[in-house]
Amino acid sequence: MKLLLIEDDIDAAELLVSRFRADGDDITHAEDGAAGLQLARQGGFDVLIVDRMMPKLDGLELVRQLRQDDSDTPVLFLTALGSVSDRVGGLQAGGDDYLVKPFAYAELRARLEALARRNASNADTQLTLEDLTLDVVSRRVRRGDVEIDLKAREFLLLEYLLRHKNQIVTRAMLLENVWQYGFDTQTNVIDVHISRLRAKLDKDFETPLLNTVRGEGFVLGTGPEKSGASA
Amino acid sequence: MTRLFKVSSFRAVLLYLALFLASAGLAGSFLYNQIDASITATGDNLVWRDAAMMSQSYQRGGVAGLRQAVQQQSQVNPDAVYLLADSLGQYLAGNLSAFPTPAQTSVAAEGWQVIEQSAGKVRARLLRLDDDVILLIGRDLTAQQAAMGQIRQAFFGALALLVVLGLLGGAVMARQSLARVEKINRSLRPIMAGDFSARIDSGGAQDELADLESQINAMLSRIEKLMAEMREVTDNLAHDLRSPLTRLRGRLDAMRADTTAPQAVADSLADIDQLLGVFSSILALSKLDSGLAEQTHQPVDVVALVDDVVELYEAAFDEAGWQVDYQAPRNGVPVMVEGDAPLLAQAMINLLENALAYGASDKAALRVSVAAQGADVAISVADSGAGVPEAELAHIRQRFVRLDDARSAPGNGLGLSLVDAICRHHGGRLELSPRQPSGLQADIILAQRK
Repeated sequence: MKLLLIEDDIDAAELLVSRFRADGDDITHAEDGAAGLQLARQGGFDVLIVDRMMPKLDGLELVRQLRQDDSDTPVLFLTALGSVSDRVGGLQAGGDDYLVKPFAYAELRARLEALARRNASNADTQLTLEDLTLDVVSRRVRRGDVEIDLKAREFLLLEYLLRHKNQIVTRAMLLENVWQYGFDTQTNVIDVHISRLRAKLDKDFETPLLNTVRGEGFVLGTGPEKSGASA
Repeated sequence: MTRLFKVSSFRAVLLYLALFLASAGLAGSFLYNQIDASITATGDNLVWRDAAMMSQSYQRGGVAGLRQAVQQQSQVNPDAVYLLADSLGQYLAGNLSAFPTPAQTSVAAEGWQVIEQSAGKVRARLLRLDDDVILLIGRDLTAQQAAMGQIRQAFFGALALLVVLGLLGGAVMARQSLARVEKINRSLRPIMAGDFSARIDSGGAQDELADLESQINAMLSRIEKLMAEMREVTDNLAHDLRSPLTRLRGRLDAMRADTTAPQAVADSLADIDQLLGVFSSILALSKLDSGLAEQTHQPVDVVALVDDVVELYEAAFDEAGWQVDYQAPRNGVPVMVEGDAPLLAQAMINLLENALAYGASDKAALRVSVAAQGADVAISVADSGAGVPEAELAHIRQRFVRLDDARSAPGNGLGLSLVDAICRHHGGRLELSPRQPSGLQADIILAQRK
């Protein structure tokens, strides 16, 4: 991925930069909002990572100005402000995702991958992975010749996973996007839903489609082409 | 009307009116008696003059002269009453045919008597000129009584008018001060709801209420300033404390990525996550408790909200071997509250996670219910675990309070505090009670949206 990190906390930024570089990503760091906006305007980035509270130009304003320039590069806000209205404000300003500090690197990376590849599959109504197909309109799911009967939420879960196939999807991403809850949970609720879905999808088939990535999340499919430094 | 009685100015007017009526009544009756006495005295003087004249007639012309004088006067003076009789009481002359019976007579002061006749009242006295003749001489009271009646009527009429005007004036005054107070209340309502920028508009009045209003406004400005400062402090605190923690977490996270990292790194990471969890819970709690939390209240369908949370957690309870029973009204009438849906969902989730973590037993059962109870909505989460000793029930919602049995389990002792704060933030309450035969029941009580 080609990333631009706009973050005034130098230490935190250096740490992130070194980790993304270790994973083979091309990441540029801007130390304040003004410099960040200038770089972002030159374009060519897959995703922008923007801190909200910064000197000179704060993150919200930066993204607002960028969107006025008709730039549609996906933006992920990084912030210490975690309230619901902060989140809504960030998304209204033109952000595409919102991650509250502190976060796990794996969480950030998964979200960035989702944003970087998002554009491809958003409008599709027929989602497939190998022999699995999901029709958003008729709400039918088949694997091979077998029709799979899913509950409403299981359908949403599978749809989200299919839209992000071969990517790591974290528990928080699922909570946010499938259940619309903006907070983390200490318990294994998501794992239980995943294992029930897995039982329906993979029960009678040799190749499992829905896999768990320990310490990070889940992958529908074979996993990221470029394997990160997963635990 | 009952509302009117509650207004202090109206009560003051009523009290004043009562006092005024009492003193006016006192003064009125004094005046009335004075007038009555004065008219009576004038009449008495006339009778005395008459008596003196009759006495002269008797001295000059004897019984015959007296008789003539009585006859004459009876015709000339229609108000005068005479009865001339001999020593046996036989009628000789006058416009009264016979002496009144004792039943018709009542004795007044100084030898006067009042005689009740069918024609009206008469005030008279007996004049014994010598042993031969008796003269009853007096005056008809009909005119006086009519005059006094009119005075009485005028007086009571005036009093009635006063009562009506007083009540009306009181009501107007009460309404006016009620309107002012209502205006202050209206202005304070958004402030109570968290908007500290609202002010009372005194509308240019220059009275004691306007003074009060400007005092309240000054107080509000101060509160607003303090709130803004506090918000800034918490935001900065959040930023400044989280940043180094985030970096620390990042470094440990990076170290753990190395597969040869010692277990201590993973453990430290878990500790930091615990620390950060406590930190954000405290921040959320203080925001809620200080009223700093934004009031983004909207109509929330309670059943839909609980449906979603139960749907998310049912599988986890199921997997852990729990029996789950969920009851909610589904008669087509939505149960609505005014609130912050994500916060309410958070409260529900905390209760469910508490039950899952601490409420387990051999035959674990979870009962979740939504019920409209009059003006309230009760959302109940009950487990069938060991429950909480009665003595501890009051404490477990306090911050950082953990029961001894739970100390080894994950958690930070802020879950119930947060639920409690969320309930209070919504103007509701959290009730904790033991469940029979064992277990803990937690009820979130919220006001139904009208």
